[in-house]
Amino acid sequence: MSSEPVEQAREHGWIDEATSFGRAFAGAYLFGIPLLFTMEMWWIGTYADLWKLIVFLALTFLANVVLTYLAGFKPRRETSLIASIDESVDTLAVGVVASVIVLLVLNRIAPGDPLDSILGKVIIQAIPLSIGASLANAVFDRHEGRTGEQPSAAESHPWRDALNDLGATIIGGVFIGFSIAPTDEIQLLAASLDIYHEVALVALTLVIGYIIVFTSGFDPESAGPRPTGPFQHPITETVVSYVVSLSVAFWALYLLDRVDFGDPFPSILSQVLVLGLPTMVGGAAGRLAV
Amino acid sequence: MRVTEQREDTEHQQKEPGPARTTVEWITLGISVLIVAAVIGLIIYAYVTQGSTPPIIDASAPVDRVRQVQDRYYLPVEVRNSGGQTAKDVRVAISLTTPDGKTETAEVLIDFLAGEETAHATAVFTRDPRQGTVAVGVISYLAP
Repeated sequence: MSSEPVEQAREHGWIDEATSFGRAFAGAYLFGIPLLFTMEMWWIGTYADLWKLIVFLALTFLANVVLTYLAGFKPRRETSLIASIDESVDTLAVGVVASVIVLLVLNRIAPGDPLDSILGKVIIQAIPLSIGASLANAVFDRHEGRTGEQPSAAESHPWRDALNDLGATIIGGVFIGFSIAPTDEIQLLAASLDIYHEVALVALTLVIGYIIVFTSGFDPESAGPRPTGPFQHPITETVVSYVVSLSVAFWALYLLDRVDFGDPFPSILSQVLVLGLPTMVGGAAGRLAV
Repeated sequence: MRVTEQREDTEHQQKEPGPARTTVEWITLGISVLIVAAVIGLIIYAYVTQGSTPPIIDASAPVDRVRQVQDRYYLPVEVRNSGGQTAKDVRVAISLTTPDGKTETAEVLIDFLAGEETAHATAVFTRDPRQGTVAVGVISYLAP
């Protein structure tokens, strides 16, 4: 795994650290998306007692210590209790920040809300998010794949790679999209978004899709030959996969009778954008899996 | 399981203790500690300042802000919980009595109303609330 740990440590600068945290956020959203789209989670946050929030934080921290010992999100150099505690503080903070960002964008919290309601919603969602961050290495390390095979440069073909990625995006998107599309949360969220929230949602979806796929690619430990092809440039791949994810989201909503062609366009658009976030995460996970 | 096995291998390979944290890692750790400490601090602050008083719910309907579209009158209704605890399923009844003695009623149901939170609703009438008497009242709520 880490053949030259000391050398890596000496070079561990801002880029490595940013990549590590990118991976942590990617793991957080991959793991936490279904619960972010669960209204009972928002409700619990509204009325949870404050002392329970402290207990939640403490239990999450303990879980993180164990999980970062096993997986973590930084390139592995040392395995010690102190290092795990370090990373657990980081993943707890990542969970809190990831939770604040999504809840703000989805208009579940707003600056004028009562403090205890904001704290409740943020901390309840930070639990699965920070657990996801603590597991990031286990999810994103390509060497840990089931087959353990590295794609060789001779086998890769531009158009076949593109089709593989496209198929994986659709399958992953369908898997997550169709399981979230029938829920009332989509309509509830869509109804509460104004234009600023929608623009922020598009930006957030693109950023999350980007970091999920490419943090693993930047990992120096998994620097195998990257597949080439028209779908493979980082920005292109992210944008194309977003278009695919939005299409999957629309068809999921249409086939499950949540939207119809006769509905007003803004209503269809906001529902598709809302479902586009989990679909994008599913698609990105699908591309990682192949 | 694979992860643990590999981890043990790595440990056997490097007997000497792991290298010290870099400056960058100290900085990010410091930021993380600050964020977590801020969250805990805010919880304590909220705990100290928040009364544990039961919900106190007031509803008002400012008649001067009525909006008329065709033959419907949209009356804004503001429901505020000035207590400390959250109320669930808050029901508010709004009734309009016009000078000719006719009465219309509307009802609003609010899923959750946290302490110090204000919810904005709208009651819709077929007669002009500005010409009659509006009565707004909270009927019930559930403890969550």
